[in-house]
Amino acid sequence: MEWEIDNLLKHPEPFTMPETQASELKLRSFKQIFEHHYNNCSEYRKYCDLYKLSPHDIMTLDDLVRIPPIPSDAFRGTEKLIMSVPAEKIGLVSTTSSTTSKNPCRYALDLDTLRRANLAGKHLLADIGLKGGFVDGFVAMLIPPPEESDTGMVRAMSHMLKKGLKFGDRMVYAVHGGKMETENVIRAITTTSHRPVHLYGPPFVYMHFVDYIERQGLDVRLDADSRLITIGGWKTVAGEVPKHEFQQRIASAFHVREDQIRDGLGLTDIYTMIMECEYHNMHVPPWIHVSARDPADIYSEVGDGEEGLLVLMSSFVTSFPAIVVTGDMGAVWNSKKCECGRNGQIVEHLGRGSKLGARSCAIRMEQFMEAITRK
Amino acid sequence: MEKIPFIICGEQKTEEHQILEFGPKGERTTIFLPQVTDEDIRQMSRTDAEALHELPIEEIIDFYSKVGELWGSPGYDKRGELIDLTCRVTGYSREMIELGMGQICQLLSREYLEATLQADLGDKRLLDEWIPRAESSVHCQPRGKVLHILAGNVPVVGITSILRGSLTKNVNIVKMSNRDIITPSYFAQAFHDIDPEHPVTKTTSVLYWPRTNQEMFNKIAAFSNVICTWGGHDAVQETRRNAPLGAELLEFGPRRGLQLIGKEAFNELDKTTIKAAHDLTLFDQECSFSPQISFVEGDVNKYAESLAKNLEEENSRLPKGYGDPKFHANITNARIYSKFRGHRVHTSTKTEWTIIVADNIEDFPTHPLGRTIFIMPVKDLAESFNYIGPETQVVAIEPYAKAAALKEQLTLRGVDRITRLGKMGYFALGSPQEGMYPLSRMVRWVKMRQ
Repeated sequence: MEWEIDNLLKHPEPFTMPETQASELKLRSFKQIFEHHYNNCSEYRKYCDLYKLSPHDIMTLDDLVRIPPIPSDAFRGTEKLIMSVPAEKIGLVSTTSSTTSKNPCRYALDLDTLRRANLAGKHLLADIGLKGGFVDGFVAMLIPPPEESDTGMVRAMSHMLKKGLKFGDRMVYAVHGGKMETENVIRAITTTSHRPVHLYGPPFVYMHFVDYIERQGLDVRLDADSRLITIGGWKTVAGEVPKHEFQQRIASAFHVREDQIRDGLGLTDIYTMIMECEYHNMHVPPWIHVSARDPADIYSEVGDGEEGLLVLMSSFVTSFPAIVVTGDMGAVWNSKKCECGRNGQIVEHLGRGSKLGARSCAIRMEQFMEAITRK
Repeated sequence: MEKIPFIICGEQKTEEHQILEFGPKGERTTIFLPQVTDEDIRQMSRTDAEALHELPIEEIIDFYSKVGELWGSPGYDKRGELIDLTCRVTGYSREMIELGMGQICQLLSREYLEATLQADLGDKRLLDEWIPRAESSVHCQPRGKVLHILAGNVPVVGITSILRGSLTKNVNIVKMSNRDIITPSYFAQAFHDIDPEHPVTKTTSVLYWPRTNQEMFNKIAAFSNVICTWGGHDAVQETRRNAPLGAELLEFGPRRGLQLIGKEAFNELDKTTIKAAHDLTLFDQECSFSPQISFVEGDVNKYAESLAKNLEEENSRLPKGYGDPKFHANITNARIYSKFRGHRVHTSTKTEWTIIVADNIEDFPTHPLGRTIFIMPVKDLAESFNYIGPETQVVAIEPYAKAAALKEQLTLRGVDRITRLGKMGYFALGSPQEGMYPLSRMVRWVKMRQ
């Protein structure tokens, strides 16, 4: 079977191709992937039937809003995985961050999906100027190694950099056995002969390194074509230092320009990420569709730039219906022009929806379930 | 832009140091508040409670009855202001706030105050006199200063807390919640309007500081003898962790309500679901008494359809208030999750109310509140026992005749209150709360051997 998504992923300039071409390829890919999930995932088909929606109803990109999204909570638990391919085809089960949930979401990934995720990741990193390790280069991962964490943010990026971008053994991990090995990482990035040196990790770990470098008065110099990628949420850093000020401190600590620091948005529920451009806009690649919905009506979109409930859709995930509503809030611009010249959607993440209906004296379901379990 | 005063030992203080914003984009209400200074803290720590101690309890009851009459009077100019501002700040509809005001006025009636004293202490004279009991003379001395950490989700609850402090002749220091920065301040302003020199007025302070300001809490808690803490899990935990040794801690933490609907209730199904709808609607389900699950014997779908009709009608009477987009998102999320799982979902056109009929609630990762009820079919109401523990504050039963057979098992599992359907948010005269008589914990029981 020929997949439309492969034509899209093969395109050399997915962010800057003419808009009409991108729209056409995007529509074909999403029509096909929706049909695939509708035909091959029985739970999803039943769900679509509730809304009386079938693949024939998807005629234009405007119809994507009609495709029923699955709440990410439906992927939680150890019960049967939600799949659109036979179980024997599953090569990896990816989970969302297990540090924030005792019961993470579990996503079944087949080899085709993993291969395409790699391709998509390479595009994203190449687009922000992170050259592959085919020739040279070094990456300091400010996270645990994949054998110590099963989260998508760790595993997917590690796999892509090691295998996809061929950094191989020219990588170092900062966290082992739950401990931060600060000095080892500083030593590695200042002494390696493999240049340029790139960094990848969550903002709070960057903050730890910046504090350490400032406190020790160290001279740590990265390269003119290094990329410093932050990913994984700002909640532990926000409130202490504004994001922009924090980026200035990173730039100063590592002697890089601010445009070398790029924030990424991990869309672990659909096994991909989105990166900031040099103007700090998050551009959505054409194989992903992001939609901000009216919080009170999931089948209608809010206007450009307005806060809504985010629905994430991937056209490259074949193994489960990657049409997910995670509870995250955000704003989407469908027609905003960015000075960087990239086309397509721009998205801004505005945080998690509250787990509480409101701040109140009413007990939460999680607390209730815990109380019942204790009995 | 509104300035809300702090009250420090009965005196108003209006400044523009803290700024809080409430309401939807484009219709924001900005509130200016003063800052708590070291001088305020010093003054509160030295509040003279002697006059309050000397005051007969009858005069305290009289004073609060007058406050109730003033608040109930349509001619009282601050009443309109209070309702308008409380709507804008809390997001509740005007109708809901009016209902809350009615509850406060009832609470301040002589009948209610007398019944509270009688139930909690057994004899109100204990506050003024030494009463012979067995071989001793017994008397209730105030503990001193009561710090109230309010939640702000239901106006009447904060007022109840303040009232308990005064009825036991304690000094009140009230920390408002940013959920309701209005009602306690206006309540204490009414004291001033009645009698600025009254001992209750002079021993009442109302202020606000952000919850993150731990230092402020520590400074004030250090000279507090009783701490009444209301609110969610995190807020109560935080108070417990930081309360000074020796202070009496009264916790009113997060709990929930349940409804048990027997098959006999189907004989008058419409009447039953009118009452069930009211319980769910009250204060948009933000209270520890709000029902979250109904266990229903009989045809659950028929029940859900009738409840849907009456929730729609109740919403016209008590419209749902403003909620942050995230709250709507949580409700939407719960709805689509339920549909994906194959549960039957009944909804309003937007997010005013939601009914989810499900065979088991273990399936649900969270409860979005906001007038959402899970209905679980049961063959026998006793099946609900598996879902009942100390987290359940109140159970409403219909028909109420069934309560007699269920009350022992329900309360043994942790339930504090059994009530009629439609009355979950209304406390009977002289009833205990959270398994205790709070006034009895706010006094020191002293004795002299005869």
